[in-house]
Amino acid sequence: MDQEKQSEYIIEVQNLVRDYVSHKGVFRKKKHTVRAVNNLSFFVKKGEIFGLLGANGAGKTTTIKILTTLLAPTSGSVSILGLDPMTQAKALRPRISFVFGGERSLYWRITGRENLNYFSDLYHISNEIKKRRIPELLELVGLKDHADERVETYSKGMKQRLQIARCLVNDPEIIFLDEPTIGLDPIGARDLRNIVKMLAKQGKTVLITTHYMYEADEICGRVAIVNKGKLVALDTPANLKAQTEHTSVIELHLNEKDDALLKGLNQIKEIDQIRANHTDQYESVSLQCKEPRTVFPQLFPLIGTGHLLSVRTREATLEDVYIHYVSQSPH
Amino acid sequence: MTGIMGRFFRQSLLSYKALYGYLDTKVYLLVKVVNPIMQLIFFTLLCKYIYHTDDVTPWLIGNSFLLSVYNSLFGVGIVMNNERHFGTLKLVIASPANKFLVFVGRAFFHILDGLSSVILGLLIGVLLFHLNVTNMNILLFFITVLISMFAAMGMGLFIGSLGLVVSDMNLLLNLSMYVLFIFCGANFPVERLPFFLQNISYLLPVTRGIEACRLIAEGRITPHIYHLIGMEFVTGAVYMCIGFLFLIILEKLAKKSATLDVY
Amino acid sequence: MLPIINVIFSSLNVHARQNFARATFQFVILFQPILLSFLLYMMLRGSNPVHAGEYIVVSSGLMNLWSSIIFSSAGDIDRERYMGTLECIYVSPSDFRLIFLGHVLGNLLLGLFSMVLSSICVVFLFGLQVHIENPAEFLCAFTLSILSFTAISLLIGLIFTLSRSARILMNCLEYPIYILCGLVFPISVLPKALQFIAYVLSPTWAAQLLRESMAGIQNIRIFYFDLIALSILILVYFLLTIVLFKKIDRRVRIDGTLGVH
Repeated sequence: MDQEKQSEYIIEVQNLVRDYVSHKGVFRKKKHTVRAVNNLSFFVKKGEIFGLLGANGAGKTTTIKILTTLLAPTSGSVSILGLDPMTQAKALRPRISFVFGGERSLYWRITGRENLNYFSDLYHISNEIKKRRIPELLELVGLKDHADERVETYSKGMKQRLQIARCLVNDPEIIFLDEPTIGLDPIGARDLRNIVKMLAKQGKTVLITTHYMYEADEICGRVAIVNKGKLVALDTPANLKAQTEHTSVIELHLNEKDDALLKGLNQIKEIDQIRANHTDQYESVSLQCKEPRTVFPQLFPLIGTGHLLSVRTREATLEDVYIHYVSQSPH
Repeated sequence: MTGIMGRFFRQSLLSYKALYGYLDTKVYLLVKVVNPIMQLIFFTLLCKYIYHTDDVTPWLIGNSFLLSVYNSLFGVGIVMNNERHFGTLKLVIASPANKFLVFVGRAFFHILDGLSSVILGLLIGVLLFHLNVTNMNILLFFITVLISMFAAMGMGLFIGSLGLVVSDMNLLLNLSMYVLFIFCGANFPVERLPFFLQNISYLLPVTRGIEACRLIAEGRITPHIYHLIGMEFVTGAVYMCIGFLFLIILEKLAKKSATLDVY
Repeated sequence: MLPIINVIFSSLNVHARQNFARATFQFVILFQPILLSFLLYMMLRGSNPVHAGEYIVVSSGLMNLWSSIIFSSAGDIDRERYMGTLECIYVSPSDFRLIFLGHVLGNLLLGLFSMVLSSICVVFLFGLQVHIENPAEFLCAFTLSILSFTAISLLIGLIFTLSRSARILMNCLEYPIYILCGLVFPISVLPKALQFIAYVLSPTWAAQLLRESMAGIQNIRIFYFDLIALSILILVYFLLTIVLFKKIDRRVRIDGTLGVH
């Protein structure tokens, strides 16, 4: 690897693969292998907020665990700050930090401040720095007034913010956030995103996973879309969105599944993409196209058995790009 | 009638499975077979050492009983606790089904479980401690065991219903387990307790059951045995009724004041 | 050196408090010593043997110490796994063994408290005499006992890092150790083959040494031999902990057993 590249990227993931092997049955064990991460490659620059976007089970958490020294890769290479997380964990660990979403990863029976104190001790932070940094962190995450209450009395959002504070006790160069806004109300999620933006301003590199496209859009410099362990797209939100420029989506709601319609739609060449979805109330069909005007005349004669409940046309969003990638990749 | 019985069995089995279903077979064996055996061996050896005796029959019987009591007490107590935890107890109590049968159904399989523990205990006794069962009236012995399990289950239901107002069930169950260890005469004769404490012994299930089984094991079948067995049954029934009443009262209270979240 | 002590102490502090808030552990620490002592006292009451007080204190004390280890140290790792904190402390630059040592020491401290509790019971409630015949040797034996329990909990705790059903498996280790290590009755009642296993387990020697130094040492040379044997075992345990950890550290990262997801 040349010197120039080394300075540019502080996270390098190349052809990463991770398999989980589980055993089922008591006496006759059956080996069962699941590939959680499949030939994943991406690079993250210093100071960047990099988003890893994907549905549940896409392999995001597994990837983060590998990057944070918690899990061994099955194959492929990973380099964080020029170090190998598997063999050089000792040198790497003080310089990184992570938060796994949800309310866990804290000691509930002691106070927020005590949690921060404990983790500071584990990171060998000197008393001097501790005295200064802990109040700062509590202030940053807005827990100053609740610092001396037991964590079990905290709300979900407070716990998640305390986790952020926890991951900052060692002033890490890279922060890994695994779905930090999961389960939060809109205001709580916004607060958290603001904290992440603030951290990036301070020069920290952030790798964040989420399954909300708008969240990635708001805070990430670049986004990698992952599906079933595979990378399906990697670009800036703006470029990803550009793909949907001048694109519209026609949404049809029908009372039942209409196979004749779906079959016919496939023949219309003006339609870029078709997505059929089942909900409790109706069957929905979404059509992505450049010009709805050219599609409509051909559309209605195709409807066979189904009863058309509603038709709506709207502009395509980043969400559609995401769904496009996720539904396109082979199953 | 068969419908009721069928439901009774299904409910009971379901409740039993709910408790142990999450364990895989290996762990189930460890928890339900290996651990009880170890406990039995420990206490039998302890009695053997302290009493300087080779005839450990009474202590083996006593401790086999305690094993099965563990099942009845914890099994039933924890099932009730879990149901409350997951909010299913409310559904059970509010359902139009015969409440008492449902209530008792929670415990039925634990009686069978307890019975198998006693058999396991005796087997260990025969294999490791030269327990002699030849001059024992097996039928009478098992009837006594069954009735004692019934009594223990009664206490389990009682404690389980107490669990509705006590925040920590495990503490209560652990405590009751030790109370039985000490008071029911499994490891030392009840007469050794100070007199006022002996009264407690006879308020508890199993004390009489153990006494009766020891007499049966010695081959001394006297009317006193039937008296003990009878009283054992009554003890269990009383506990069960108190437990059930307690449950009904709590339900009424809960309905009256919406604030009291006992379920 | 200072950060190391800091890590151990900080971990001790946090975990002793986390654990003591648990009802099961409260039972083990507060109620079990009293109930156990009472049970043993009642069993002994008929025969009135000499050294009954010493016997009860050592027996119930050691049983409690072992229970407190079982219901804390081994379970701790599992509990942290479910709390999600295991991964957090694991990736901290502090040596996981030191953090875990803090856990173990915290639990031992609580275990010692229950030993004191059972002594108080024996002396004041049952009116028995507890007399230490050879105080200096007792102190030695006591210190080594604590070390040996520390070593064995570290070892067991680390091994259980590998398993997701650690807690249940651990609960099944309570009585076997009571039996095998002669915590309450001498191992001479056991079959010969089992006695050999007993001598590989450090609590066996600890129990023997504590009893002897309390009741009066019969043969000082045998006593010192036992003392040395225990010290060697403790060293072996510590060494094993260090060596095994390297392997375990790799294993947990390959199997991914640190988290529940």
